[in-house]
Parts: sequence; structure tokens; C-alpha cells
Amino acid sequence: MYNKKYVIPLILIFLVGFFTPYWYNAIAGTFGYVPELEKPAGECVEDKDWMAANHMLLLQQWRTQAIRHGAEGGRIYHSFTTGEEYHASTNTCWSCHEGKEEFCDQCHDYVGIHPECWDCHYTPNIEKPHYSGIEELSKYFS
Amino acid sequence: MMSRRKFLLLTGAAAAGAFLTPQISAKTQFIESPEEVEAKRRWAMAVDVEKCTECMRELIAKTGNPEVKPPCVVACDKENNVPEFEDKRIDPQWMRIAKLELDKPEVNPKEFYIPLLCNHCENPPCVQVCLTKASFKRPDGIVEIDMHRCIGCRYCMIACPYGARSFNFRNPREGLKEVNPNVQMRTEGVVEKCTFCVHRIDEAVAKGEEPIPACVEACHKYGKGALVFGNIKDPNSEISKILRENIVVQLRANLGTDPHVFYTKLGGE
Repeated sequence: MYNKKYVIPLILIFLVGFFTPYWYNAIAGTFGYVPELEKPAGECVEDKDWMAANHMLLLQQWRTQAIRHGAEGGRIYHSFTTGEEYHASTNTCWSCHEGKEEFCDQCHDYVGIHPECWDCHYTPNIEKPHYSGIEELSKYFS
Repeated sequence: MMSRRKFLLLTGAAAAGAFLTPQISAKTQFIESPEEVEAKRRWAMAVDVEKCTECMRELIAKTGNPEVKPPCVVACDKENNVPEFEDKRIDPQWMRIAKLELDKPEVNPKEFYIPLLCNHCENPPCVQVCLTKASFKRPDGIVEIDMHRCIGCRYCMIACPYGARSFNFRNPREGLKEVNPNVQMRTEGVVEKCTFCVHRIDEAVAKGEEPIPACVEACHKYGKGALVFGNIKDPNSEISKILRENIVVQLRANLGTDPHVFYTKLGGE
């Protein structure tokens, strides 16, 4: 082998850099860490494992149904696991799950992705008062 | 020993299998077909200009503010999470009140106040020009925007003859004091407009009730009841009666857009 004294140290440096995530986590004591989610109160619209893999597809389908086919009854979703009807809305998720930080962010932060859903959609983590309905306007108009 | 051909085939198949994840069936059975909906429902609004003017005059006399927001506008803003900004150039509006004076005061000296909102045209020019097909017309006549597809090019704002659309120049959350969880907020860089409170309509239709948008509800509760909302395909609905019995005016009807906000009692009768 030519240039042994340069090539072998460079290979070693490359390997150290390549496996940074492993030894970084080993030193930080988080090696093999997998986020654990608390069990929500109710039953999910579909099977848990199916949801873990395909929840974005489900949300996409709900989005298309509710917006594009809202007039034809698209806001009703039929679960193929339980056969029950659900309202196709992210608020259906919040009826069981506590909030974005306690649920969505756990895995999304772990794998380093940042979906933009909550730029617009409501989450229970928004710290603003709720609009309660038409009765609230009586303080402006009598 | 595996042949090169077989090896390549297997590699390709494995790669394809990894990318083609299970998809939910796109074929979903809905309750009605678009044709059925189109034959059954067409939402429209009628405005009694006399009552609207009366309400606005009273409100302005009471508050002394000529730009006061009437119940319909406040209800709309709160229901649909419409933000409010100090700078009027960037303040999104779904519904606003315009003051009209006729150019011939000797013929008709009256001044009117009329609400301006999205007219939900039968031939909406905003839908024609939309590059990404984010704006579309539902079979029941409501012109809606799919915010997920909107790229914020603002062609629709130029095309709309009624100025019904607003652009979000700033993050609307900064201008929101309260949040209605039932309606999504918008983000920076999308166009928004009145939807006739589509979430309320779909909910009411699913339950078999008569839908009522937030502005109409507020108008009847705190105002003079100038706004009437309903289905013009149903001959027995209140709005059908109003359209039969009154002289109705559509805004800029000469453009052929066939708007579905009708103004009645503009004086004369």
C-alpha cells in the first residue's frame, strides 16, 4: 500500500466523523433512545400501528375530502378498522391527544422533521382565549 | 451464482417496493354525487339595504365613529379568525361595509350602507385565473380556497371585480386576540376571503338543519336582520321568496359573473 502513513489516519478520521451520531449519543447517555408516547384517552380512528406508519396519508385524505368534497359529505370519514364515522378534522385528533408538544413533536423532533400543519391549524398548545360563540358579542352590542 | 440480469431486476424491484408505500384508497364513497348536490343546493345571500343602512346609521350615531364595525363584521372576524392590523393596507377583510352615494342626488338623495363580501359567483373569474387550482367552486356554489395549494401569486385578487380577497402580508396570528378552534388560521403568503362559513354549512347539512353563517346570525341577533342566507334551489326557502318578490340588484352584473349576493330595497320601491 502506498502512502500508508497518510491514508490510514485519514480513514480513521473519516470513520470517527461518520459515526458521530453513535458516539455522541453514547457519551450523552441517550444511546438507543426511542420517544415514548403516553396512551391517549380514547381509541384512535384507525389501528395504532397503521397510524404510526400512515398518519400523514390519512391527514392528506382528510384534507382533500373536507375541502374539495365538503359539499358531498366529504367531512365524514369512515374508519376501515372500526367501521365508525369520524369528523375529518384535526380537531378530532385533539379530542383524545393532549397537544402538539406532548404528542406530535415527540417523534417529529426525534427524526428531525418539521411539518407545517400547525402554522395554521389549531392545537391545544395555543395560549390564546377561545372564541366561545355569538353570545360573546353582547359585550360590544346590546 | 446469480446472473447480473437477475441481480439488477431484484435490486430494482426492492427499490420500487420501498418507495411504493401502502396508499389509502382514493376512491371514497361520499353521501351525494356532485351532480346531486348541484341540483339540490345553491347557497346565496340577500341583503335588505334599507335595514342595513338603518342599523349602520344608528350604530354611527351611538358611537360617533364613522368606521365602526357592525355586529356582522365583528362576528365574521371572530368566527373565521380574521386578524386585525393597525395598518389598513395589509389588514385582511372578509366582510366590510361600504357607504354609497348616488351620483345624481336630485334623483335619489339617499345614502346607503351595504355589506361587501365574496359574491360566490356562478362564473368566478378568480377560479379561472388560479394557477395552482387552489381556488375552486364547490358543486353547491361556494367558491373556496385550498390554502395548502395557494402559492400567493395574487392573480385572483386582480381578477376579482369585487375586491373580496385579501392577502396575508403578515403572520395572521399576530393580529388575533382570540382563536376559534373550528376554523383554521391562515399563514403568511396566502390569499383569503369569505367562505359563507363553509364549516357551519357542512355541519348543518350533515345534521339536516338550515345553515346560518356567523354574519347572518349576528345580524339577526344584534342588528336589524338585514341579511338572509339560504338555498335558492329550494323554492320554499326564505331567500327564494325574497328574490321572487323584490327587485334585486347584483353587483356589476354586466360582467357576467352572476354573483350570488343579492341587494334588495335599494330605494325606489
